[in-house]
Amino acid sequence: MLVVENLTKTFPNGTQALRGVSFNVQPGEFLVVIGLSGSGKSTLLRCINRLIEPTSGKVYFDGQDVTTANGHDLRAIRRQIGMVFQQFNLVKRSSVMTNVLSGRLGYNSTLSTTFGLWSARDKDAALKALTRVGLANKATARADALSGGQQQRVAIARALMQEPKLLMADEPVASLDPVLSHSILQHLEQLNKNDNVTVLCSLHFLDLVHRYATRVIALKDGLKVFEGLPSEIDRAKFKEIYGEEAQDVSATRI
Amino acid sequence: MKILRWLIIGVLAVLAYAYAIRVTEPDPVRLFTSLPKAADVVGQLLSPDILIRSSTSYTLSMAFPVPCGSAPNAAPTTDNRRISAQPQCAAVGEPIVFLGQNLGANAEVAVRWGLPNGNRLPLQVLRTDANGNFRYETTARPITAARDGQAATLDAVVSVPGNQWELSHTVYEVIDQLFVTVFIALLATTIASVVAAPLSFLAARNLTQGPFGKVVYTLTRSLFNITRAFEPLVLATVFALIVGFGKPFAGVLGIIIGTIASLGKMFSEAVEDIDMGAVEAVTATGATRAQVVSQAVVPQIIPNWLAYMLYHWDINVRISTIIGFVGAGGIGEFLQKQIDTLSYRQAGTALLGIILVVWTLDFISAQVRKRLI
Amino acid sequence: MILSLLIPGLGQALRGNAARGAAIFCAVASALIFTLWYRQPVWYVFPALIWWWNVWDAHKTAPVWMPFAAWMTMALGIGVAVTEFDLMALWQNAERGAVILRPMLRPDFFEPNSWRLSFNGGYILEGIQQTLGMALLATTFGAILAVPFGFLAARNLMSANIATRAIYTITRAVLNIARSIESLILAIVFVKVVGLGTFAGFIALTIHTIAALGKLFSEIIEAIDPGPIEAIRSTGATWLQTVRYAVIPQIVPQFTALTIYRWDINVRTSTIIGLVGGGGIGFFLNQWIRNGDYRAVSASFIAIALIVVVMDFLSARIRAKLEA
Ligand SMILES: Nc1ncnc2c1ncn2[C@@H]1O[C@H](COP(=O)(O)OP(=O)(O)OP(=O)(O)O)[C@@H](O)[C@H]1O
Ligand SMILES: [Mg+2]
Repeated sequence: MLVVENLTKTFPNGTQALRGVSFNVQPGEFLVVIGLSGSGKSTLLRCINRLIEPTSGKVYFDGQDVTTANGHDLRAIRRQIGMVFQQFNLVKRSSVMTNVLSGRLGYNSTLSTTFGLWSARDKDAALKALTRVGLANKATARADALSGGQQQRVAIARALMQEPKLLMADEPVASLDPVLSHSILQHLEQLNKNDNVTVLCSLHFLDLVHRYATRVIALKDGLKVFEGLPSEIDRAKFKEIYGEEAQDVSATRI
Repeated sequence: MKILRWLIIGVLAVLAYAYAIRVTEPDPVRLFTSLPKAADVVGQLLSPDILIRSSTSYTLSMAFPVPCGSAPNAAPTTDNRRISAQPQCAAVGEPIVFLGQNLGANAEVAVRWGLPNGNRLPLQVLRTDANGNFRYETTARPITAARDGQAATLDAVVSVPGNQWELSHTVYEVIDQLFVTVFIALLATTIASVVAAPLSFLAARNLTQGPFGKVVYTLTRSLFNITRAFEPLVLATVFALIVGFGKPFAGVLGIIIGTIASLGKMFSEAVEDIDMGAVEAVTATGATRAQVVSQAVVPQIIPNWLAYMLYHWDINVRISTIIGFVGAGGIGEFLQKQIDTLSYRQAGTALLGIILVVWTLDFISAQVRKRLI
Repeated sequence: MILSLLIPGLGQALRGNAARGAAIFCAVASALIFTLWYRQPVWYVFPALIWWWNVWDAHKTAPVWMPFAAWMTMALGIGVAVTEFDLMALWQNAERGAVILRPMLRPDFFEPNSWRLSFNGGYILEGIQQTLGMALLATTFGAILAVPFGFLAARNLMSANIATRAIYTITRAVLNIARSIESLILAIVFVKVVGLGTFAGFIALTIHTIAALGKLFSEIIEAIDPGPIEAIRSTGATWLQTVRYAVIPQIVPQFTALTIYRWDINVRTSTIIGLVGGGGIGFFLNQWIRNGDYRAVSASFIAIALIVVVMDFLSARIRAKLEA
């Protein structure tokens, strides 16, 4: 459902963050991107929905060319791709409800949303989404009053509101402690299994990769250096991706 | 319920604005009609009087009795460069033609009345033609009437341009006044700090315990708060009345009072923020109260206090740029005089000086504060 | 050490302590400028002292309090001289002071023995209304106009290309210049342009408010968290929706708090802006001072103090509510 061809990104300051990355994402997959800090994972995900403009290469989503889509078409594509961030990226001063509702901006007219008018259906859906992540009772709280794990669940609820076909998660658990990491990833796994949402997720911890991924790609200095099943990543492969000094830090052992 | 509240707030706001507009009388038309004048004023302010052509200047002056016979007419001169008037005397309201001859080509001539009481009434600044002559028409006004047999004079201040540039007299005057301004602020800040320092201990909650301490605390705090409600500018007016208008001393006094209150409050907050562990430790050694303060409190608060003092010096320089408006010394007085006499280019010089000084002190105080804390 | 003998601070700067070097240079330079300007030979000893200390310091680090004390002694000494600081003057003018202060003890608000406003009391009330009205309008207009300036002076929005960076630099510079000119100075200029009265004061306050708030607004905008903007864009939101849902919630509370704070300051300033003809209670105060009507003067002092205290309290309360 997602085809990435020869994707390249060179930042204005000359950093080559992606160097000809190609891969496919099949429907229903839980594809995990791994790689050292600075290897280009975030850049890759952001190039897919063009939060960052790729320098060259192609991205097709459901057969539609993302890289040339503009204005209306691009927004229509974006709303089918939910996104969850390492820093949650909630609007901290707004209420949880407003944050979740903002996931439906792509489906509503600019005018009505500018005045903060939402249909009863959207509000209902927002409550349902919050219930799914177990936060229905926090709907009126301000986002910054929530703990990190709760905020990330709100962010997932916001992505759910988009009724996404693909959910991209950029290190969704890097700011959370290990126990919470599992709870967040289980939410993603549920979406993946029960709702048939395809997941594209970048992760740091190898044991999480083994536990949740159905397939893995690895980046190193903007190059794709590995593509395969999680079970294929052994010590040697790991050292190759992460460098000689790397230690396999297990999330659960901390 | 919520809607009702917003409705009430909205209605109150509309009322407040309606009222505000009525009393302020904002007048877009006047703003528009005064645009040319504003452009003129701003233009002059933006071309400050800094460098001038070196020039030689001299003043010619002749008695001009108003009305005729109130004083002797000016004796005719035989000098080569001379001024004259036609007629030689006039009644109030009558036209006068003021002439100058052989004053030097393209010289700048400021024509003015020298009034019998010693004041001057500037008329216009003109330029002589290629032969060094000028002609200026005016009328005799009541204020130019001779008094006690002494006639007003018609003066021509002539400046013949040379060909060197030099700093204008205004620059020296502005620098002088800016120094006064800076010193007003420095003196006021220092003295206020000396007074505020001991008072601040009395206004620190953590050092004033017990029923007696509570009373002292409340009294000092209220004193600070009440004093803070009086603007230094307002206080300076009163002091200017007492010690005399135009004395920078009045400005110093006004700023001192304001600064004591505001520094005292900041100082005492710094005292309240100290680590009480160190205080306890020194108290436990059996030290007296004074010893506790000097050993455990003072070392903790000095950096903060210095930072606050610098900050206030900065603020006080800003205040002392305007304190001259109420006759309490500094550049403000000079600035107001220039603007009152419509000497906008000179005012521009003063403004430039103010901006430079405020910036410099802002920069220095920010740099030093950054290093202190 | 020899270098420090020639140019104060240079030795220290070369030994790696640039800040110390700069500070020493400023101290010596300012001391020299002051003493030379006033041409009082006795004072020359202070820059000489600091200079000598600086050579010593370049040799081996010397205690800082010494030049500090020398500088302060000199500055205070000159200060006392140029500001004609003389506490005796207060004493000598005690009689004049008494003549002024005694009537002040009986402020002139009301008719004797009644609660009807006296003649001057009426003017005070009018002055208060003008003051509050002027401050309210100037704050509102100033805050609204400061918003675009704030955006133009925000580095993070304006660093896209050279043109925008130029706009940024110019806006910054203009705001900084305007900010260092007090409202009262602007007021005396505008009194000349549009005439005496509240309108002149209003314009002066508005301009100062734009400059002060524009700078603060730009700092808020620079501190915006880009994360939420990214997140909202990724939902397929339009530009307007992104501004509405990711930018405005981040900046509006702070903008409001700053505006309220500015309102507080503007009320303070508008009580005195009339001293230079800008309208409000200060205008009447000025008349009374000139006419020697000290009872009315003290009444307006009290009125001003009351306004200031009430505004202080109100603005603190509102801001505390906004924080929560
Ligand atoms: N806006 C930018 N401008 C210039 N260089 C950038 C920018 N964003 C990222 N980079 C550079 O691109 C490279 C890839 O960054 P990216 O954020 O994609 O890495 P990452 O794999 O997500 O790392 P992390 O695990 O730390 O999040 C890095 O070298 C980074 O410094
Ligand atoms: Mg990243």
